Amino acid sequence: MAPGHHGRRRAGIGEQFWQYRELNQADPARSIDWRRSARGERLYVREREWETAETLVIDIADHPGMAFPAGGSGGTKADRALLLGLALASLALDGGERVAAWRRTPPLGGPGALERLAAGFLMQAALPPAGGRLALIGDFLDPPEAIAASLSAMGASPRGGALLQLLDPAECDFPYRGRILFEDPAGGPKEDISRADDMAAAYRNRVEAQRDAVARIAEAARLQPLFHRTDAPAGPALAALRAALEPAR
Amino acid sequence: MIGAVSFAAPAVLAGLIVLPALYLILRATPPAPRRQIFPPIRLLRELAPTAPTPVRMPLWLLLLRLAAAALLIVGFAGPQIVPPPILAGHGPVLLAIDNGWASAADFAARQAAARRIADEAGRRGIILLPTAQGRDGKPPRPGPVLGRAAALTAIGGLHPEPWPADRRADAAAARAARRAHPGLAAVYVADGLAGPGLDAFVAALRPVRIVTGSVASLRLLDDAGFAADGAMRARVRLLPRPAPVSVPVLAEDRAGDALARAMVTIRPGHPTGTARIDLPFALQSRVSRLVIPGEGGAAAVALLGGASRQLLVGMTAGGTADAEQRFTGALYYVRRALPEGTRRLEGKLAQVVGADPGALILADVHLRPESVARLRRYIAAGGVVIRFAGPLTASRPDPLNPDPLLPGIRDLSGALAGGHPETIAAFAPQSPLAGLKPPRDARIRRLILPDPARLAPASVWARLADGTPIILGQRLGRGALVDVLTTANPDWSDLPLSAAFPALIHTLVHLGTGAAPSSGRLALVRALDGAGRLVSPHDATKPLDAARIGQVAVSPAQPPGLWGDAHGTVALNLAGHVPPLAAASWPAMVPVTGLDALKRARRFGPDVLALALALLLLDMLATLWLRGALRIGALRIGAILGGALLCLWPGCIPHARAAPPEAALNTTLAYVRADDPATDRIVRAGLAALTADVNAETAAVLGPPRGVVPGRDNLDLYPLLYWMITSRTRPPAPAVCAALDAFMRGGGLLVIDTDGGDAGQAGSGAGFDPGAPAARRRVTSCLSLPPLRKLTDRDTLAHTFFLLRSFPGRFDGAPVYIASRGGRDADGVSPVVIGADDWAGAWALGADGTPLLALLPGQPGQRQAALRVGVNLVMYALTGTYKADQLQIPAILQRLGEQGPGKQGLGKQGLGE
Repeated sequence: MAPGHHGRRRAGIGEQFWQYRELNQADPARSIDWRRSARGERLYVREREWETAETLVIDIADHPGMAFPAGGSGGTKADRALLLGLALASLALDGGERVAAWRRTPPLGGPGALERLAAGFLMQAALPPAGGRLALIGDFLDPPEAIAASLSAMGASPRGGALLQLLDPAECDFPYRGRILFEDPAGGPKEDISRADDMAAAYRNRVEAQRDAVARIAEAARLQPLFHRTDAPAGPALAALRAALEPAR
Repeated sequence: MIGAVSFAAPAVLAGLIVLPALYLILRATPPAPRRQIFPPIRLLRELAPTAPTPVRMPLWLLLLRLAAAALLIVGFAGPQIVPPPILAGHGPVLLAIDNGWASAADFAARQAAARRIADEAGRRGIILLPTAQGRDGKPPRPGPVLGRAAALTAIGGLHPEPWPADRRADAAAARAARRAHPGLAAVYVADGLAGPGLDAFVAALRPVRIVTGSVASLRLLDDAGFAADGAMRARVRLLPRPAPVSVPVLAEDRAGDALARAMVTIRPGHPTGTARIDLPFALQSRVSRLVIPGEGGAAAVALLGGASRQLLVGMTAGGTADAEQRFTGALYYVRRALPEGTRRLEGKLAQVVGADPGALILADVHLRPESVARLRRYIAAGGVVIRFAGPLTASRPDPLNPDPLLPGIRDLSGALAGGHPETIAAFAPQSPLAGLKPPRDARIRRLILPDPARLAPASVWARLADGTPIILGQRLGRGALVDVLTTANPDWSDLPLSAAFPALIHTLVHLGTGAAPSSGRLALVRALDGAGRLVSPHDATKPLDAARIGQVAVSPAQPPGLWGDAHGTVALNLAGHVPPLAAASWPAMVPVTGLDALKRARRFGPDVLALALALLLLDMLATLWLRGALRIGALRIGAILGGALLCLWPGCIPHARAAPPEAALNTTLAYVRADDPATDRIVRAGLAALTADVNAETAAVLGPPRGVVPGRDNLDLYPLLYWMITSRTRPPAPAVCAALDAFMRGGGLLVIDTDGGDAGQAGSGAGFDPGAPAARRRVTSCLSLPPLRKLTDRDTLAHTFFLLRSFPGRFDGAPVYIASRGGRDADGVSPVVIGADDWAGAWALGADGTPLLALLPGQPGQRQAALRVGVNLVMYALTGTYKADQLQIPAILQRLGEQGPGKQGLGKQGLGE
């Protein structure tokens, strides 16, 4: 991964060489670049490009459906989302960037930031939104127009960033057979399906359509759409997320 | 009741009427759906606007549940098949049960039949009448009327007695019971043997139902006999059968170890069958009883009293003349006078005494002082020495006899004595010879004389007519010394020619511990109980006249067992002391049932309930399947479990081909495979027992022993290779010899052993495997053996773990050879140990941990000593000369002086650990 500092195209504190300039009165003698100065008669000072960190705002969906599948051997969607979010935050912090949890924490950096972020992800959204690039992680199973509305409310298009749709394999493949009473985690009406296996194909098409719709909405909001199944390893998903957040220089 | 099936609780069957109601309820109830939380339920809602249809239960599931319910109800109702009742009438039941010797073999079945009858009698009450006399000698009598529980307890307390039933007293008891309880129903559990008074007894019981076992399985073991050549003979009596019957007979020693097994075959229609039991003499003298294995009871045991043990008589003649010369040889007449079947051993004195004979006959042998000491010890240990005089002993009397003999010969037929030989007048009344008929026809011409001044009168057992002592005898220790003051051949007297000579010799050779009392009163020493075990005698026994022991009928007063007095014991066995075997014939009108025809009620309730539970389990699985809960994962787990079960089948898991041999991973003893499996089995068992002992005693950890074929298997893996050579071992192929040579060169220890040797060689294994030493010579001739010398207790091998003084195996006394100093390897370790005492035979244990082979001479601790030899061999093979410095310990201690740790402080363990 590329480091998280981004050149500001002016002299300042940084790693990259920016320019040589002549020595001023105010400059300490220690700052003279003797190698350059030895080639001529003037004294030069070596200047570096000013680099500064960017703010990354991570939002992890926390509605009751994220706790699916409950009691299964694999982790829930919420677990995986939190894992990816914290891993992303950790990478960004390591790269020197500042990271905020959407409406939960201010932009944080430096030592201890990861712990505060981790605590912040579990808090209620209460703060005003912070500026910075967006990383949205969730299942995005709401109607597409509702998703589009919430994205625009977050001010996504000027910020840019990535949107990761995270689904459980059971939600993608519908592996159910026989008579099943499906319940809504949010407490909505139940759905009694007498032969679940008959519905599997239609359901899969419906999920594909939802995924396409989410991708379209994300692109319209200048967010890079990403998709991840929780039975797949988290590493590639994290890499894709990180690459999507890499700013084009 | 449906056919033969009845129900213990028929009222429960009323529950079957709820089945139709259950049908209606189940029919109306669909199986409950599975519940599943599902976040994308919105998508489903868009897809499936269909209302859920109530699903009816499938018919087959319904029937399954109904069947399970029906089975539950039937199961709780207790279906059973009750056999038809055998008891008539309504009064109490008189249960006569035979518990004489003939009932012992299947007594458990008799008790089961009695329990079944007690079950059926229930509240009517049971009067129990065991038909044999009790141990106290009281005649059988009917007991009180017992309830069911008390009757079952009393039946459990019955046991077979080692004497026949007392029919006369039984009949009286039955009549008394009938008088006391007129409404009596009688059942007689009979042994099926005819006997005096049986008809009267059955008549007294009538009306009666007889339950009888099969007399065909009855076996009666006769007293052990001896064939003309001295071999033991087992005889089995039974009721003649139309087919041949084979009965195994074991010869057991005092500890109960089987020494030999014979198979007695009884031909069709014959009442008896005989089999020879061939045993080496030393083992035969240890047989203390014959047993039919697996057959309980006193009838399956034949004890051997002291008299029936066979006697080994050692014979030695002095001088250089041929003792076997016909008519004139010193031992010719004595040999012919010995009882038929007596084992004889003739030869040099030291050799003969070494064989530990029961009696020793010395014909004109002059004894050197060390021989005198040796014979004194022999007599004190129970031996009998019978000496005959002669020219050699007459010239130089030796001090064996405490009554000194005078040198010189008294010649009665000479001119000075008047020329008339004397006859033997009488045997002294207090002597063991009392009762024998004096040989009136034997004239004594010459004899030697005891010193009359120092002669103890009691030691004169026979005098001539003129009062001259002719036979001196005395008991010394447990044995006896007898001096016959004339020769054993007709040179000096006619005594060897007389008709009374065999009786005299017979009495004399039996003077030792093995003597059988033939007169006087005998007391019961050990009694045989009804199960065929030797137990302490009970109080009711009465002494027995030894002369009339053949006519005794066994009874509580005179039970079978060992009877004896101070002189020895006589066995009183059942055979010959009970009425002859004959099957009983029952009166025509009496109903007779077989023991095995008497079945108990069969109850099916638990089976039916188990079936119902199985159906319910099936129903549960089916319901889960219908609800979709039985998923592929569960099926896969089931398949894996099934596969794992199948994999218990050997060979399912493929072996890795390149695995190293087991012996390379684990130190292991090995043995050279023999051609015959019996030897292999003993050697394998021996090495296995040794391995266990080494693992328990020492820090070495050995794997299970392996049989190898030199030349084919890799011998480099084994530290010790044990090779048992028997007379049947064939000379090995050159490749085998080359492999063994390489093994010895490579640092292995080859242990060569034989299972006994030729007759007459050193050690107690002499005569056990004639030809084995020759086979060993043949077999080892192609090996490049180093020069050998005798192993002593000063060698490293005697110190490697235990401190050994001797190296016994199954036998003791044969020399053990190791390489002499020049023939050892660079470290001074002998590559070979050669013994002849059958070490593996001493180590070998059976599957139950008991020794497989009896030991000779069987001194206490011999097996332990043999195991110690084995442990030392293993440690020698593993550690070489590591313990060689222990040899110097005594010298070092001596140099340290008295202050250092004493010699006795260094026990076996002290050096071994």
